[in-house]
Amino acid sequence: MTSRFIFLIPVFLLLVSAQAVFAAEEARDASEFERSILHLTVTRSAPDPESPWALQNTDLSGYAGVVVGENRVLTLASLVSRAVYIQAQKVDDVEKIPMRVVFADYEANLAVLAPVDGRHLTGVKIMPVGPDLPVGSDVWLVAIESERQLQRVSLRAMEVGIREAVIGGMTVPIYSLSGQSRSACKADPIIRRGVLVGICVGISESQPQALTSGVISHFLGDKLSANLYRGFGSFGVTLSPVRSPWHRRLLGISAGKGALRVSGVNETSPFTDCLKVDDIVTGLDQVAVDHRGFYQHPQWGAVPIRHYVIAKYAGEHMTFHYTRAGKFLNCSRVLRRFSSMDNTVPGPTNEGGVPHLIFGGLMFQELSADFLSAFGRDWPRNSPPALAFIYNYMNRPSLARRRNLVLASVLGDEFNAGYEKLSNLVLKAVNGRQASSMEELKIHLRLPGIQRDGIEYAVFDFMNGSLVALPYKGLPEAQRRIAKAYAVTDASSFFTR
Amino acid sequence: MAVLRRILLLCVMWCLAEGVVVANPMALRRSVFRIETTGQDRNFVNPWRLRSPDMFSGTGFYIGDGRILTNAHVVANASSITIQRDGDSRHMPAFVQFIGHDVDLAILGVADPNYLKNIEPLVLGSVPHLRSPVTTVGYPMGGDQVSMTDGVVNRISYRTYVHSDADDHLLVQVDSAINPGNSGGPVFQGRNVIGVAFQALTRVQGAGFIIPVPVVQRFLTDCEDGKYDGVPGWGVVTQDFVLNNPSSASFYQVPAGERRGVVVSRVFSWSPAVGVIQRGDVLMSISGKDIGVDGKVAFEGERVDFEALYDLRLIGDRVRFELLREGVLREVTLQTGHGKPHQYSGLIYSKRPRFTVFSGIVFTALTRSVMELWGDSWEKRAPLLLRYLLQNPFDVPSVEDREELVIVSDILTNKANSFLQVQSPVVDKVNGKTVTSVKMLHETLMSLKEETLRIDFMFDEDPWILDAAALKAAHEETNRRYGVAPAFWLEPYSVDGAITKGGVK
Repeated sequence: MTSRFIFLIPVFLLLVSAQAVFAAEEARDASEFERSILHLTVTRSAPDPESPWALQNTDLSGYAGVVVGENRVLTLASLVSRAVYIQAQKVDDVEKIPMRVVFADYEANLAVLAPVDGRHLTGVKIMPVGPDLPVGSDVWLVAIESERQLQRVSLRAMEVGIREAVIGGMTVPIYSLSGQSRSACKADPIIRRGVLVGICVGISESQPQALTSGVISHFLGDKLSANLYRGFGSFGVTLSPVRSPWHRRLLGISAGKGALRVSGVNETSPFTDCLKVDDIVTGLDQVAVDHRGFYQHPQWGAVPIRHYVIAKYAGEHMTFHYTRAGKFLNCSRVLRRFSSMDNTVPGPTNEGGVPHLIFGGLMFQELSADFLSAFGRDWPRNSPPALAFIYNYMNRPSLARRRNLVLASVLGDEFNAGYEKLSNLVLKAVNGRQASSMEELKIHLRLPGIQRDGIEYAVFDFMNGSLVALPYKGLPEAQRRIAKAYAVTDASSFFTR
Repeated sequence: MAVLRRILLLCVMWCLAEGVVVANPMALRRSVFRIETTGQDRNFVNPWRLRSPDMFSGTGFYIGDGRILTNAHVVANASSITIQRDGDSRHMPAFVQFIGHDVDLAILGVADPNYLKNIEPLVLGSVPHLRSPVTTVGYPMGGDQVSMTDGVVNRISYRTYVHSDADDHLLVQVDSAINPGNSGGPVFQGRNVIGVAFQALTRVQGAGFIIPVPVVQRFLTDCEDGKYDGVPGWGVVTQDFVLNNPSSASFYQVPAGERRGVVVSRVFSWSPAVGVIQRGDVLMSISGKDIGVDGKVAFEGERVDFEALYDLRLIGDRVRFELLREGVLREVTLQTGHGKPHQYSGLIYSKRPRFTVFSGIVFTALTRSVMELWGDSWEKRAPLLLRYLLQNPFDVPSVEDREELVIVSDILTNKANSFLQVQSPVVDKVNGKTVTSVKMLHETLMSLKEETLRIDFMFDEDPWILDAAALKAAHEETNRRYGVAPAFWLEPYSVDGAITKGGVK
C-alpha cells in the first residue's frame, strides 16, 4: 500500500515548496508595500455645476499615493483636481505631511505630489515602475483600509483595452483585472513582484480597471513642469480595419496583407495636409499593421495600433506609410499633444472657474465634461439626450476650439417671467448670430440687438426651436435683484455691455 | 313618516338630477360584454416572424347597429376574438370592424348578428363635471362576473394615451379602480356612458383614466365613411406663458391689456399648418375660443390644452385660428391633414413592420416598437442614437426630408456578409443615394446594377463596401436557410397605425 503511493511524495513536496515560495514572496511584497504606499487625505472644493459662481461643500476623501521618486508621490489627477489641502500619511505613522500638486496631466489622469515647504518624506521606499504586464499575470491590488491597514487583493490581468481615462479625456490603455475587490478602486496601486505595474481608476462590470505601467512610465519619464511637459502624442486620424474582401480588392489590398483605411482626419491633426479619407495605411514608423489593424506589442501580443501611438511623446516625429490609388506614399509629421480642450465638448476643467454667463437670469454654460458629470455617474443615461448626443456624435476637435453653449437654467425673476422652466437647451444663435464660445456670446450680446417698436431686445434662438426675447432696458436692475436673490457674489458672472 | 318619505324623494330627485346612480344596472349590464382575444405581437428584429400567441381579456359595450365599442389595445394584433354576455355561457366569435390605435378605440362586429338582438344600445352622454360620481362597469381579472365600481371625476386633462405611447388626447381621471380586464368598459353617469375605461397609473392607487365622449364621438364619426382616417397631424410647437412677460408681449407686439396667446416656436415641414402658421406667430384663438397664455382653452366648464380642440376635428376639416403676426391680428384657416408617416413615433400594431431582407441583411424602419427590445425603460436603456433620432428627428440635419429612418436590425450570416459589423445601425445612403424609406431602399437593392454595393451609415465614418454579385448569389439561399418569408413588407402605415378597412375577421 505504502509503496503504491510512495511516488506521490516528491509531488507533494514540490507543491508544498511552491506554496512556501509563494507565501514568502507574498510576505516580502507585503512588507515592501507598506513603506511605498501613502494614505492621501484630500480636501477639495469644486465649483457647483448648477450654481457655477459658487463652490460646492468641501469634500474630504482618502486615496492612495505611491512613492515613485525622492519626495515624489504618484496618484490620479482627477482625485487632486481643485484640491484645497492635501496631506500624506505613512501607513505606520500618525504624522500627516502637507502636500502640493507638482504637476498633473488631467487627460492621462496622473499627478505627482510633493511635500510643501521643502519638507521631506522620510522612512519611505521608492517603488520602481515595472514593465507592461503580460496578459494573464497575477498581481496585487493594494488598498488602504480605514485604520490605515493595507488590504491586499489578489487579481489577474485579463485583458488590455483602450478606454477614456476620465470623461472627455484621452483614450489610454487600461487593464481589466479579474477578482473581487471591496475597494472603490481609486488610485489603488497594482503591484507585481514589488514594482508598480498599474494604478486603479475604477470598477467596470465588477472588474477593477487600471492604468498601465506604460502610461505611468510615459508620464513620469516626461519633464513634469508646465512649460517643459511634452505629453502624449496625438495624430488626429481615425483608422478603421477593412473587413470586406470586396473592399480590400477594390483598394488593392492583397489577401493577408495588413491595412487600415483612413476614415477621418481631424482639423487639428498634423497630417491634414497629406492624409485623406480612403487612404490605405500599411504601417507607422516601419511598424506593420495586420489585417485587423493590430501590431505586435512585446508584452500584449497583437493589439490595436493606437497603443503604439500613445507610447510616443508629443513633439516626436511619426511617419504614415500608405497607399493612394495604388501609389505608395509616406508622410512624416510632428505629433501634437492631445488636449481634450480642442474638443467641441471639452474635458474636465480642473483649475479656475466654470465658464458661465448670466443674462437677465438666463444662465449659460459651455457643454463640457464638467457640465455632463453634474447629471451623476450614469450621465450618459440621465443627462438630456440632446446633450449626450452632442457629446457622443458631434464632439470633434477644432482649431478654433468651438463650443456648444447651453441655457443651463433660468434664475427666476420678474424680468424673465414666462421662461423660468427652460433648462438644458442648446443655443443656436443670439440676435441672429451663431455663438461658438462664451466670449463670442458676450461679443454678440454687446452688438446692437433686435429693434422692435423702439425697444432693443436680445433674442435667443435654441436648437429645439424655443425662443427667448428679453429687453436690454432694465437689465442692470434685474441683474442686481438676481445677484441678491441668488447670492451671486461674483459680478463677472453677469453680462455687462 | 311623511318627512322621511319627503327626504327620500328629495334624495332620489337630487341623484337623478346629478346623474349619480346607474339607473337599472341589471338592464344595462346585458349590453356589456367580456372580450377574449388571442393575439401575436410582431417581431421587430426579425419582422417576418411573430411572437408567441398570448391570451388577454377586456370589456366592450353595445352601441347599436351591430357594433361593440372597446379599446384598441383589447383587440390589437388579434388572431381570434370572442365576446361573452353576462349570464350567458356562449362565446361568440367577433371581428374588428374599425380600429384607431391613436385613440385606443375599436369597433367590433359579431359573426352572428342575431346574438345582439334585443340588446339595448348604450347611449353616449357628455363630459362629466369635476367631483361628479361615476360607475365603471366591466370584467376585471379575478372573476367571470360583471363588476361595478363607483368613483368620482378628479381631473380633465390632455395626456398621453399609453397604447400608442405617442398620442396626447383629452382624457378624464377618475378615482375608481380600473384594473386589467376593465379596459374598454363603459363608465356611467345615470343611464349615459360618459367614457370608456382604458388605462390607469400602476403606482398610484385609484388613478384610473377614461376616454371621454368627445373623443369617442369623433372616432365614431370618422368611421362613418367606412374607413378610419385618424386624428389629424398638427406639427406645431408652441411656448406657453411667454406672454406673461410684459417685455416679451411687447416684442411680439401684443396689444396692451391682451391676456391671451401662445408663441409658435416651431412648424414642422410635414405640418398642415405650413404656409398658414409660422414661427414667431402668436396664436390667439382656435375655432373662436380664446387661447390663454397658458395654452389652454375653455372646454365643457374646464380648461384644457388648446390642441385638444384641434384633435377633435376630422381629417380634411377646416380649422380657424386667430393669430398675431408683426402686430397685425389675422384670421387664418388651415385644412387638417395626416401627419407624415415617419413622424409617427408611436407603437405599431396590426401589421408587419416595414422591412426588407437583402442577402441576410435585415433592414427595417426605426419605430417606437423597435425600442420595446429595451423594455419599459427604453428611454434610458436603448442606444442613444436610436432613442435620440426617434424622439428628435428634426434636430438632426438631413433627417427631416426622409419618409422614415431605416436601420439594420439583424444580420443573418452568410458567406457574403459574415464579416459585417453594425456600429451605427441607421442607414444614410446606398450607392450615394439618400435612403428615404424602406421601400426606396428595397427598390434600389432589387434593381442593383452596380458591381459594388456601398452602404453609408449616419454618424459612422466606416461604410460597407460589398460585392453586389456575391450578395445577390447568396440572397435566396439565405432566405431559405433562415426561413425568411416574406422577404419584404412595404405596405404603407396610415398616420395612426389604424387598419383602414375591414380588419381581422
